[in-house]
Amino acid sequence: MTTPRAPLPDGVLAVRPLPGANCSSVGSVVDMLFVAGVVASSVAVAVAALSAPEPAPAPEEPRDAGEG
Amino acid sequence: MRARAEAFGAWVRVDDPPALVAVDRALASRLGVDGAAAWGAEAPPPRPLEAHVAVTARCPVACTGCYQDATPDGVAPSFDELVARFDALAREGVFVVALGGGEPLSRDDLPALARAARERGLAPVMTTSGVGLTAARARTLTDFAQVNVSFDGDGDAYRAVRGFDGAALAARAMNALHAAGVPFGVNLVLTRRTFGAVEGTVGRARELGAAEVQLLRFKPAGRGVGAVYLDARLTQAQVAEIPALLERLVRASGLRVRIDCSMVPFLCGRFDAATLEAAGVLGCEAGRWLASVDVLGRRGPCSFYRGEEPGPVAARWAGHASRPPRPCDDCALLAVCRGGCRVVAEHLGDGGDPDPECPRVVAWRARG
Ligand code: SF4
Ligand code: SF4
Repeated sequence: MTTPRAPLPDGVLAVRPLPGANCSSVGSVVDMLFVAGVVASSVAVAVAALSAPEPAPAPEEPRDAGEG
Repeated sequence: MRARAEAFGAWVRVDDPPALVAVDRALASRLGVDGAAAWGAEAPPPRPLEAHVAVTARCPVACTGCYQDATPDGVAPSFDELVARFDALAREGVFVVALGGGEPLSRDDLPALARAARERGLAPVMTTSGVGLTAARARTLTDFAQVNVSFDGDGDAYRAVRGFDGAALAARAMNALHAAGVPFGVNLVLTRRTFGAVEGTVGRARELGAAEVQLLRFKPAGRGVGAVYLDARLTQAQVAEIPALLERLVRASGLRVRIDCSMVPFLCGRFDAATLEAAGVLGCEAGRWLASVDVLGRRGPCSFYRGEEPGPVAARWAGHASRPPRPCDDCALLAVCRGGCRVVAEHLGDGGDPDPECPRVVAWRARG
C-alpha cells in the first residue's frame, strides 16, 4: 500500500479542493494522492495568509520624564 | 472567509485556490471561529457540506440511467420555493449547492438562482447535458462557480451510457462555456463499454477547454436498474485497473481529476483512510456531509435514494459505518469509505451489506 502524504501546514487536517459540479454524488479531487504537493502547496499559502498572526502592536512612544 | 465549527475544529472555505480546509481547534481559534457549540462534550451530528438541489424534474432527453427518472413534462418548483430551500441550507452552514434535475437549463431563471445562492454565501454549481446551452445562454451563467457537462465519450460510447448520442451536443455546450469564460468540467460515467475509451474521452474534453474530469460509477437508479444496471456496471477486471487509470490521468491528462464517493472502495489496497482524509476525499457521506433536496423539497441522504420516506433512509445510511459488516470491520479504508455505496449495496443485497463490487468484499466472499 502506498501512502504518499501531502505536506499540510500546521493545524491543517485536510484540504478539499472546490467546487466540483456534480449534482448526484459527491466528487473528490484525487490529484494529491498521486502527485504529492499538488494543490496542497497552493492551499498552504492561502491558509498561511488566513492564519498570519496579528501584526505586533507598535512599540509605545517613549514616555516623557516625570509622567505617571 | 466562511467557516463552520466542527468537533475536530472547523471547516474553512478559502477562495484562492477554492478549497475547503479542515483545521484543528487551535488554528480554528486563531482564525476567530466560535467553537462553543461544536467543541463541548457532546459533538453535534455531521451537517452537509454540499447539497444537491433538484431544480426541475423536466428534461428533454431522458437518459437511460437517469437517477431522477426525469421526463419532458416533469414538475419544476417555483423560484421562491428554491430560494427558501437555499435559505435553509445556508442557515445549516452548507458551502456548495449543486443544481441538477432534470435538466437545469430547462429553467429560464438559472442566472437569478445562481445569484441568489451566492448572496446567501453558497457556491452554486450545476450539471447539464448541454441541451439548449447556446453561446448566448452560456454568457448568462457566469455566476456559477463551475458547470459540468455530461460527456461519456464520442458517438457510441455516449449512446451506450445514456441511450442517445449527445456527444455533439455536449461538445457544442463546452465550446459555448469556454467562449463565455465559465469554468467547466465533464462528468464521465464509467460503464464496461465506456471504460476502454476513458483516456481518449478525457483528452477530447481537454481539447474542448474542460478544466476537470469527474469520473462517476454507474448507479442502479431511475431507469438504470435491474438488467440495465448489471449489463452496464464495470467488470471486476476493470475495477482492478482503476487506481492505475487514475494515476495516468492525474499525471498525463492535464485536467484536475475527481472521483465520485461511490468509487472510493476501488482505491482499497492502494491507500489508507488517513491519506484519503488528508486529501479531502469523501466516501459514502450520504446523510452526513452530503444531502439532497428533491423537486418537492424533501431532504434525502443523497440524490439516489428512492421509494421511502427520506428521514429513515438518511439515518440508516449515515449510521451504516458505525456497525460495519464483515469484511469492512477491519478495513484500512473504513473511516472514509464507510462500507461503500449504499445505493449499490441495497440494490443488490440488503441494507446491512457491504458494497458488493468492492474488490476486498469480492475477494472475502470468494474465500467463503
Ligand atoms: S471492505 Fe468495506 S470499507 Fe473496505 S473498501 Fe470495501 S466496502 Fe469499503
Ligand atoms: S449512497 Fe453514498 S456512495 Fe452511493 S452515491 Fe450516495 S453518497 Fe455516494
